[in-house]
Amino acid sequence: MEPKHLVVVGNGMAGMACVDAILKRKPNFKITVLSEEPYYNYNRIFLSAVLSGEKSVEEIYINTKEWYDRHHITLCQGVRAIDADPKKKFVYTEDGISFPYDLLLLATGSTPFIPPIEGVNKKGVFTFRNMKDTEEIMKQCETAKEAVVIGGGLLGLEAARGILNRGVKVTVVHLMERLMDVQLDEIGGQFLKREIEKLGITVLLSKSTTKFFGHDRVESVMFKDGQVVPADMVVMACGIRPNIELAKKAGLEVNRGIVVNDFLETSDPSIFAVGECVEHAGKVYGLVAPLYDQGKVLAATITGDKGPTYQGSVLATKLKVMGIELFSAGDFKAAEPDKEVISYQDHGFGIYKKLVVHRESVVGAILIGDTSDANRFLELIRKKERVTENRQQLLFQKPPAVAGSPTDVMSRPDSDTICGCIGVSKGQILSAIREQSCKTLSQVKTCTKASSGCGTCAGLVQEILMGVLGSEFQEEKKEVLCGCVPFPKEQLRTMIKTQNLKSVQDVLDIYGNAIGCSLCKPALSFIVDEVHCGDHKEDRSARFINDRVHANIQRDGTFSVVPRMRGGVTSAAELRKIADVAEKYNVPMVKVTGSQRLDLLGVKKEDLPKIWAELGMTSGFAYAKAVRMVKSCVGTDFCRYGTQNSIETGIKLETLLEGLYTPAKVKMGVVGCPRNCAEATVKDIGLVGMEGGWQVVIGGAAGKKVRAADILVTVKTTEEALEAALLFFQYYRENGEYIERTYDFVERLGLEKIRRETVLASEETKQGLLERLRKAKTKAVNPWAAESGQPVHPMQFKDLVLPREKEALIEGAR
Amino acid sequence: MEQVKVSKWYLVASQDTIPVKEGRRVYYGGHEIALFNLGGEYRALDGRCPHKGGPLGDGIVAGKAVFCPLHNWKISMENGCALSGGEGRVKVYPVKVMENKVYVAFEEGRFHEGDCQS
Repeated sequence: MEPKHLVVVGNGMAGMACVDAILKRKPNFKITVLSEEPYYNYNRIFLSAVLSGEKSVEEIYINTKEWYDRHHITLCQGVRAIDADPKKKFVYTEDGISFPYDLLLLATGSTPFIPPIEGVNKKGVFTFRNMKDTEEIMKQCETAKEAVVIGGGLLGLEAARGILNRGVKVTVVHLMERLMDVQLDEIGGQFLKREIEKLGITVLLSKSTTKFFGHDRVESVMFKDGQVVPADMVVMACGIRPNIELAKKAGLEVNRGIVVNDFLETSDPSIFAVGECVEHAGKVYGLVAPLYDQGKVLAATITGDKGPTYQGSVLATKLKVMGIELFSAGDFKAAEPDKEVISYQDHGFGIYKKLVVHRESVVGAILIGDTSDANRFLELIRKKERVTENRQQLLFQKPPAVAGSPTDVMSRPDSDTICGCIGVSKGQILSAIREQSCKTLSQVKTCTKASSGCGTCAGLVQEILMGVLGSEFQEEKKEVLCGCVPFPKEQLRTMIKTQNLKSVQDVLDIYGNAIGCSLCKPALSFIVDEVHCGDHKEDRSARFINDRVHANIQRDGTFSVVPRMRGGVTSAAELRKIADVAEKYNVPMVKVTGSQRLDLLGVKKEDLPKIWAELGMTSGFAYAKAVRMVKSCVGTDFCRYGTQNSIETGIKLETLLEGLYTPAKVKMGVVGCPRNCAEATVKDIGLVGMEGGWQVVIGGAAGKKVRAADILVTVKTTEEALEAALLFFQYYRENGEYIERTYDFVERLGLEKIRRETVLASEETKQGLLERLRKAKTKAVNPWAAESGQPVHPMQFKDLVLPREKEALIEGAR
Repeated sequence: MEQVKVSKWYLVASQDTIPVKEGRRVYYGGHEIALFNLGGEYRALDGRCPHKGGPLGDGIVAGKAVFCPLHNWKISMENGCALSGGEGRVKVYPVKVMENKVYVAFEEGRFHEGDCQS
């Protein structure tokens, strides 16, 4: 049989959700989609997240080219359908192209309503409806200083927040006496206004805009009361109107929207409509959830399974504005006398909760400031459950995560809706987990689209994942080492320990792709070394060149040599040796570093061992993820302000830790008084001397990031200070992720946890840390001394320089 | 590697000169190449990264690719194309191993022809 040709006008969320539902029924259809916008199907709800910078444009696509191709859907982009002939069954486009159809689906959506304000066509006045609008607004934000958003509804507020995020001052102007008047009662409006103002947005209520001033481009906005507000950009968010022009021209029955019956049929039996453009039982919906409800009914109707009916949707709104939580659903007004209100207000915390009860069921809700119960209330409203018995606990039922409790999602029936936007039931999520082996939130999202709408149900989806998979449940794999070894870093450490894997290649062979890369090979080198306290099998090919030749590679392929000068202290003899070496090997530059060291720059690889031998100094490890240095000030030895012996302590600390490898480089500083001359408070570990004691500080940085160190502990004696530093040092070695500096480490774990597990830990725990540190330290070597006389390989420091041509050449026709 | 008719092979090293899964810089006349020991099999590329001239011979070897030690571009030893980091390519030189000796044809270095992406 010839496939029926289904033409869809509109490539938005409603149209494509409906097509998705149709495809699931595997009909014999040939589908053509006419899209006015030159984009693939994207999630319009998230345009405000794009504007605010929370999401990228790429992140909001729902269906990509691959989806259209896979389903053999012909997508005509940039095509505007303007008319249809139901008798001949043709759709006509603006460009004069006609498309024959057997079935026509109108998903024309809506357009922004633009009130007839004088000057509304000036440059700098935008609507906020589609991708193009969003891009234009973002561009304008680059230069604009003051923006006015006309309309204090959902969209207007989201736009205002987005613009504010881009550094533009924003005023929201609303015609009505309260913000979001369609979704909030009077009290709710007051709460919301305060929250919006707290963000730094100016709110003007009961203001009717009459004129936009400016020559070519908008410069200011005037209201009916004569007030004028400067604005170099204006966003109109005054509501939307269903797009019914095409339906009207085609002679279909229209009112405010395209009129449809419970089967989503229009007045013509071959034409259907879905989404914001339809009017059902006198109602037009401008939110996302109804689209999906309608789409499913329509999919049945259009594929010949006419039966399911659409009975209207419970309206629920969630404001997606960073820093504000707001939820509103159903009949929240309680205008009629037989409706009862249960409410709670906390002006200090900005929390407002209101439930409307009618005949023993919840029919509406408003939540501001705390929307954690939004799903619970929405479910109550949808199911019209009797609530009389537990009415007193309705507002403040802390959802206990106890299995079997009524709020435990696992004890809910499979038919319960989890994702209200897309309309995904618990059963569908369960089957995605069980049959399609989804293990993470994003996998469930891909399989079922659950939580790809407003995203509120992500927590519930995770709970279901955990409930079904238990320990097999996987958090999002953000922390995996890399694609070669796709395991979270922490898990890798455990695996290496329990499996007793001693070499990088073993780990790659067993848990990875056997090949590795420049990220995981050095990382695994560190982990096997650290886990086995140096008793690992060294694989030099997995090390970065710096670690193979114990020098820092420079941009021209030469190396730098930084000898260790503990505490930043040197001597005449050392300086003489450095000077001699620099001359003898024509070292192009000798530089004093920021770490109180001397750096010989521009050294040839082959000269490295000779220079080390002649210097007779220890490696400064300036090339490695290791203990770099301890800087010190002159302290009590010389300084008239000194309160502690910082030089001696600095040298001691450096001697105790030198030669040890760490997740990322470790820089330290010891200062004799809080004047902090050696900048100990911006070091990974710092000792700050003061009258009668030391502060031990951790997690400081003055590099790519500048962060003042946190105080780990304050102690009386130098011995205690050194011990605290050592405890933290070893704790970081054991728990830090590869290339995670202490400043990220401290923030990831939290200072309290670190204190609890180091300086405040039991004596046994402390001794364990110190013992493992001692063990690693006994294995630490000065590679310069060890390898200058006896390289680990004859070619360690050598390149191949071939003699002259005649000697090298052999005739090779063989 | 496609067969190239090579007239001159140059003896570069004996087979155990370079440690397995490592590379070395090789200088000969005006040439600078990077030679890699993949364990029995050798590969040779131009010595300098197409990005900023980093010495590829010092890079970390991963399978049949090397990561430049300066800015981590990944260069294929199969065709000399940059696989990550940016766009660019280096010459690949014919190498053969005979009687435990490694030979390189310095004059026969070739850029990959055609699209690097494919």
